Amino acid sequence: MDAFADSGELYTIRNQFYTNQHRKIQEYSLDQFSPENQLKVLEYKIRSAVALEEDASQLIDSGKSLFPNQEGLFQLLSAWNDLKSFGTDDLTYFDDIKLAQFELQAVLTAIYRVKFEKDVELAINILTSYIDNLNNFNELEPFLVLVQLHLATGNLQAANKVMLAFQKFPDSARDSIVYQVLESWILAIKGESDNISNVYYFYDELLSADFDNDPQGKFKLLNMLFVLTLQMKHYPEVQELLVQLKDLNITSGDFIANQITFDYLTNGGAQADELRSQLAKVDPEHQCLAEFQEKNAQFDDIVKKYQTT
Amino acid sequence: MKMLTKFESKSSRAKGVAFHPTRPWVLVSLHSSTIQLWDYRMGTLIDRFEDHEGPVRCVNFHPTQPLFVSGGDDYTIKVWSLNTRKCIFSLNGHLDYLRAVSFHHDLPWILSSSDDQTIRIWNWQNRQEIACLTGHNHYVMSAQFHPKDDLIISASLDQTVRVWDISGLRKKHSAPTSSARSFEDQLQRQQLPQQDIFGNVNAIVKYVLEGHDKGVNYATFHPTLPLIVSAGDDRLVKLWRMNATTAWEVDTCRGHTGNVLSAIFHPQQDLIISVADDKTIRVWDMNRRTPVKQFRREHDRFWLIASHPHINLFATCHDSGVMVFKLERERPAHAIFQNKLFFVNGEKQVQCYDFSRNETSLPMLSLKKIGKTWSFMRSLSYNQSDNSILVTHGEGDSGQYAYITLPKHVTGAIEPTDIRQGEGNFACFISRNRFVSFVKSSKTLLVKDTNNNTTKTIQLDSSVNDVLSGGPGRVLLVKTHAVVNYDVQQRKELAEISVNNVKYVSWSNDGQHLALLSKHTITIATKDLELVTSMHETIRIKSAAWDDSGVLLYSTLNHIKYSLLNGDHGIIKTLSNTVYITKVSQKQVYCLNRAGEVEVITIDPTEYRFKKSLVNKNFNEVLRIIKNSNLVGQNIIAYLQKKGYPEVALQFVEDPETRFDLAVECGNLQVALSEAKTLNDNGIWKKLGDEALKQGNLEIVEFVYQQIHSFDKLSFLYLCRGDSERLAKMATIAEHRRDLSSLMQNTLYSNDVKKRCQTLIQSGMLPLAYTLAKSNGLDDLAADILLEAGISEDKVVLPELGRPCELPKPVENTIEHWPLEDTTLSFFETALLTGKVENLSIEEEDPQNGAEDVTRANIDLDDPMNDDAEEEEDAWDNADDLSIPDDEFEDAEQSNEIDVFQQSAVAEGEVGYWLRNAKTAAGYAAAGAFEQTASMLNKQLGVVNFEPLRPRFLEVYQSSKLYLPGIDDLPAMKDYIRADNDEDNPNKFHPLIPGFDNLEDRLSVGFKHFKANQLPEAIKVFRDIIYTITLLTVADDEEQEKCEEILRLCREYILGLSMELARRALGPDDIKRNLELAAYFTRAGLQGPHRINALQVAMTQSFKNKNYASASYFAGEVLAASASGQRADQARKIKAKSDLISKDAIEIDFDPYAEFDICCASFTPIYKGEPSVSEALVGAKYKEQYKGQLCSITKITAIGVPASGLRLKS
Repeated sequence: MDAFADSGELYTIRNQFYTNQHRKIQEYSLDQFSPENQLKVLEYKIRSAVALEEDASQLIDSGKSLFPNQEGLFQLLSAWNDLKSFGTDDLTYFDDIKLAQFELQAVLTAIYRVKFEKDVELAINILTSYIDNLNNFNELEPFLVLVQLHLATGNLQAANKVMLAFQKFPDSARDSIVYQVLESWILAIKGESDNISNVYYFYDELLSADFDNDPQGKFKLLNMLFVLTLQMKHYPEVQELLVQLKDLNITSGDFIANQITFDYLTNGGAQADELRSQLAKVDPEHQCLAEFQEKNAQFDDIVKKYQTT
Repeated sequence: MKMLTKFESKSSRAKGVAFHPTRPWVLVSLHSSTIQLWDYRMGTLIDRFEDHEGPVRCVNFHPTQPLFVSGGDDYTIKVWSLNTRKCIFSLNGHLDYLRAVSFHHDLPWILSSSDDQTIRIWNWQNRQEIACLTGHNHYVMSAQFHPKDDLIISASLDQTVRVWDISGLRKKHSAPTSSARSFEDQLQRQQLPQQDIFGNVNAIVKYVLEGHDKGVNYATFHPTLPLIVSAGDDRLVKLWRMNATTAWEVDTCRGHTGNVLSAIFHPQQDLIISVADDKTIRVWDMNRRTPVKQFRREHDRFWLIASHPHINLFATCHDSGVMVFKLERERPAHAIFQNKLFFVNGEKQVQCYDFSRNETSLPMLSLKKIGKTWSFMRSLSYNQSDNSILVTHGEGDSGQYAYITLPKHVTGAIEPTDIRQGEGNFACFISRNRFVSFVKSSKTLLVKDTNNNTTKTIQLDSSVNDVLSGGPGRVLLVKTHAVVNYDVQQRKELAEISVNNVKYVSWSNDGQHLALLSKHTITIATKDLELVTSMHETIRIKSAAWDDSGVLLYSTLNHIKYSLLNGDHGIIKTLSNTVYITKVSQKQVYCLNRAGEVEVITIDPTEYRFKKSLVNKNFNEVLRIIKNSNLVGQNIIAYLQKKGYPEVALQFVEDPETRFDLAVECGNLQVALSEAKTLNDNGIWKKLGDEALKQGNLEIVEFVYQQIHSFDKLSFLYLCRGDSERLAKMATIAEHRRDLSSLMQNTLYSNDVKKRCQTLIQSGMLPLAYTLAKSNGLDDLAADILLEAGISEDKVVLPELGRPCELPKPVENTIEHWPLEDTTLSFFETALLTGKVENLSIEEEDPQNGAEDVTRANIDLDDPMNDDAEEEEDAWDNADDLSIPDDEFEDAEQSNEIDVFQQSAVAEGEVGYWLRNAKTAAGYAAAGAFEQTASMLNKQLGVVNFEPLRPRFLEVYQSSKLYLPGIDDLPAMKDYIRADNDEDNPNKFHPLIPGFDNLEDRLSVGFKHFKANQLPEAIKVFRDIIYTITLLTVADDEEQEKCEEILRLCREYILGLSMELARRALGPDDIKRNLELAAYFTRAGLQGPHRINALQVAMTQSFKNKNYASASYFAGEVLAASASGQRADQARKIKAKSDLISKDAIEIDFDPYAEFDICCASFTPIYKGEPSVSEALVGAKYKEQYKGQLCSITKITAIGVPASGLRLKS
């Protein structure tokens, strides 16, 4: 039986992982799962810990002893954990990977390439070549990363192609949370009321889960809803969400960047400069700032060009 | 279960009722002796039949012939003709009141039962009684033939129901197959029982059903099963079963509280319906003998119930008339998704029809166990994301919805497993994972997720009666007199339309229009609920669907009709059975019938396509249809004439008379002439002559006059044309015709004096002839006349004669046709002549151009100063001054339209669409193409100083950008905000450009600064508004006009305030300039109260500086603008004092009565005719020497440079 299917025991944990409910994943213990699924659970737990910026080395060590045959996996997770704790210094693990051997390696290497080396193209290559040789319909995460990379570079067409590839997969693949998340992104960016509101409800539904102990998870969902509501131009609702988000005392670059857009739309951009300086502190490399600089530079040229004529 | 009343008549007590088998008619027999024939569909009384004396208790139609039969308290049976509407004959024999009469389904027999305790059978062809069935020992209240077998059932107050076998009678009375009877046949007939022990002949009692404790009022057979139902005074309805040898009581339905007068089987469903004098109609489950439903009337006892033989209709008689009703709706619940139709069939099973394969699936799900046994599925909504349906059933407080997942593989009607249910009178999906249910009793709208959990509860207004589907995220709230488009997520009413009692809605395929259906009205509106058209139907409207081209097809009880968006409508097809249209594709109309089956009806869409093409001026299509179809008929010709296309109509017509009329109407004289020749009728010729004369076609006029021998007119025509030659001929003709009067006329025209004299002589008017001859110097002729008259010259006394009259010569050559402007052939004529349609231009006829009635943008500037004009004096010190010129700026010098930018950048995705679709500078800026934006602004408006626009550029760029967060550690995904999220055509994707909505608010802010005397701040606000509009996109001309109006206003305020600031900056010695600037300020186009400020400043400054003439003028202006209040008093005083002196101490350059503009750079007047240059964005005027400099109003544009003008419309 497929452990990921909706009656399988990994179904819930996977849904939680891919909808950023990392705190919940931390609460699981391996004993709750049957032995054949424990490795996957441990992987989720380690990655969740890293996502929550906690040290996962103890978990990794326990994993190494529990699953002595999975040396490669734990080496990868260890490198991933170290990357978060110590940065890229002295680390060569990811640099050495030219062709991914297994799913998580492809995923994390691609993320590494983008985050630390800003090499989106290479990341896409790693993922594409991994996917091309894929025979396992359960390995869906590379698709997710690939879609995000395409969409981050504004290439909706390529993202759409990736999604279409799922048509060849069995129905179960399309029931997977990974597919639903990936589809939600594409639909949102495709636009049109129907699509956006469907995506809105998808995240709104996820929000109905209990988030009392997981402000991070809640923030991520609300942040998504913030973007979608703004996209639908429902400004009073955006304002409500903004209040809720601020109450959580968590922030992110994307959140601030989207606030800038909201400020332009409802407040004539009065707070835009202040928000930009906040953004510069939180995420100095955010594309919003890069675009702002680029556009300002372009504008400088324009001012000059027409003044001289 | 619901009873839906279709018709009700008001009359005295109705005792008998019967349905016509095919037409929408009911016969009603009344206690008052009248029989009525009603059309229950139209609700009209067709006829009344009065021949009986006393009450008529029974009536029935013949199943096939145009006959009906009635029986009354006058002991007679009457047979009536529906053709002549007369009684044909009466059958006499019964000795007491008649209780029941009916025709046999096959044989020429009538069955009657009477209070004389007999049942009789009559042959209505030979009008003989053929049998008298005795046996009942009390009144026989009802008797009926079996629908197929040779049986009769009767019910009597003797407490029994009897079944009679009449097969013997049939044998006896059926005609022999041949004249020579076979021996066997004779033998068989002899062996038939001739008489039973009671003396009955050929009809024997088969069963006697005993069980009722009191008299039995009614008994009837089941239409197909061996069952009997009976109704008795013991308040019971009894069900009986029979077989070949015996009959027995099955069960009893208890519940009535009075005598049950009648009970029948439902013709299609396992139901029994009974009526009683307890004023109720009750419906029973035939299989379980349990009550299903009861309907009560307050005052009327029921007497009889009858069912329609084919349709789900029942009629019942009561104390004050009859009522026709049906049980339950018959509209199969359905929903369309892409090319599939999901519907509930007659067996309460869900089926799917594939439009692309024209194939109905097997039943996939059974809904029998959803809700109560007899509850009907009212609506169905489909959700593709989890392949599920949402159905609603039940009425009123018991309304429920059920949310069920459809099986993945269709294997037959399986029972649903995972049913999520809840309360609701309406439910539909509003997104892939949300649905709404409307609870009528509490007027709440519940938003639910796929787990059936309520995520939101919305309390609706108490006037909401129903909810209908409104597309993604929206529903339509139906009120008694309105429909509201409601956004569920925002809980916001988006739009409202006034429309009464809407029941259903049909959305067009592109979601742009919707049709709201009520019983007799269809209202078409846009998606924003703006009324497009509305039409009334006398027959009930049942359904509607849109075809791909936006034509609405709808069905009434008996027609399929169409309606165009302009309200033109017509019939496409007549229906024999009512259908519900679900989809229209080309010529196929996919319908559901009342049995819950898909019917595909092929229609001819030519007529509506033709009309639509004509309305949309798609002449190529019109022409194609003309050439390829056989569209004819008076209807279409009348339509074309009405729409002003007689020349098109001409193409359809062959009848010469119609062709002639059409040709005259469209001024085609050649066609008219040729048709007139064919018709050769005086009236026609005359019409042609009139039309030809109107057009100045003299040739045809002449021809026509010749044809109708209108010689006088012809002569006059020749006179007018100066055609003396033909005039002479006309004289000759007149001579030949011996028409002296005409000849006389002609000689007058040609001034042929001699001939005129001869004419006068001929007619014996010698004195006149003599006078004429003499006065024209024809002395010889005069002498001859005298001779003939036998009078000598001296006897004649003539007045003094002047010079002979001369005929004027034509100035020009003989005129031919009246010169007409060269006509161009109409589109159709050209196309029909050349056969080419492709290259013909129809742009001139574009309805948009002509129809657009561009109203001036009406800016409602909410100016707080309007409320209290006095207050503003606080900030505006009276002692200070202002001034203005009123100006009407000419349009900026227009240069050619700037080139459309060639996009070198190959952008993909959303930004790619935006760039490809961009038509405005703002569109390019939002897409990030700043260089193109700048170039466009430079060419359109002469923008050269871009720095002030930097914030607006960045605002426009950033306002449509979003960052969709995904996996941590990866950059966010680029997301965008579109101007219109409802748009699904990528060629119409545009970015959201903010700014238009709050322009007025910002103007108000500017006015507030003005009021507070914060002039530099006010100028900054107005200038920022200009920058916003510089980079803005608007939806239509009206919005563009509004922007232009605001630009004009900003210009005037900036100019006025700049002058005022300049005035305030002057030294105390510069009085002349001070007075001038104050005067000019009054000429800035400020809003009312603000202008008074300016006038007041000018007035006080002038007065203070002894310019009394000017002061008087400004005071007069103040009074004209505001006749009362403190300011007016002051103005009056100043005016009175100034008028005493009425002189200016200092001469200034200001003529209050001259029109002038003000140079925005020098603040001096530019009088009419003086050279000036303009700026392109706001239209500011400058003296010529400022050409090329930066505009002081906008601070961004160059003065007097070539510019094509502002373009804001996307």
